[in-house]
Amino acid sequence: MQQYIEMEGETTEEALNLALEELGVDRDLVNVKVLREPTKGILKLGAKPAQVRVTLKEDISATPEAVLDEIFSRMGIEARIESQIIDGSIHLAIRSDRPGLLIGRHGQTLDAIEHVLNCILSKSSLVKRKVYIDAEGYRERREQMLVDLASITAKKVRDTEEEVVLDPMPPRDRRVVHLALQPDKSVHTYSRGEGLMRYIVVTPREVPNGDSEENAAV
Amino acid sequence: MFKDLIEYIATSLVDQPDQVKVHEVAGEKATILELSVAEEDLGKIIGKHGRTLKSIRNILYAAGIQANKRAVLELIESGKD
Repeated sequence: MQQYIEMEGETTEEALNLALEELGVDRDLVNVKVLREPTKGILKLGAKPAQVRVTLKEDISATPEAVLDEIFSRMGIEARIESQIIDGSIHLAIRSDRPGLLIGRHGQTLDAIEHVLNCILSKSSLVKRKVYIDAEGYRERREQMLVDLASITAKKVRDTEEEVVLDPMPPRDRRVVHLALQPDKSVHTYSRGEGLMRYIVVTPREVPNGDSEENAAV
Repeated sequence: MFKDLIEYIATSLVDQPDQVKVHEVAGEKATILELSVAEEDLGKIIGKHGRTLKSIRNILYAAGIQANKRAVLELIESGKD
């Protein structure tokens, strides 16, 4: 459960501050090890930035993994959790004997656990970064599936020049579709409907200069 | 088990964990869990647009499948009984 990141900066102080920002925690929650003092060099030749390793102290009772563990044990589910920090957010990969149960329909259970986990963590305010969870690579697979669906739909809209309505999806999935089609100048997307029934509409977009040839599909 | 799950989540979410009470009522088909919290903490349990309460129910539902039992969560608004 040791979580650490290594960070470089002009001074050790700067490297530490960057690391704390990245982890989203305060100074008193981490151990700091200076891996390299900055060296000046001559006229920037041979100059090396300071490097520190910042480790989250283990006695934090409300780490994302710990909270998730507590929830799973009370659900009667055995799971292994691996934590990774990507772009400053914490990603937890869950391996369990019941992946389908944890994922739920369209990832609903995964979303529910993720939401409650983030609420609990923001309350204890130790970890200020958003925590994402995934089980058996579901999110990644789902995202790829949605990106594929988006490009197929965009092609259909281009070919028929008529709008296409997609099935209702949760906000997170809609976001993936919107983002996937944003660079596509031939189509336009928006959402319609309320709550659980909210869905995406893909419509043809007027091309101002007629140079639509360069709109390679996403 | 269900009671423990709801108790853990509720106490972790609220400002006044000592006010969290979960009453378990065993029914024929399902267990009913009556949750009450301090009035000021109701919003923490319900969440924006009821999202948190919905998420807790979803987690409870999954726990129910795992245990092969059904459980239903009712949020009791204290001071109204």
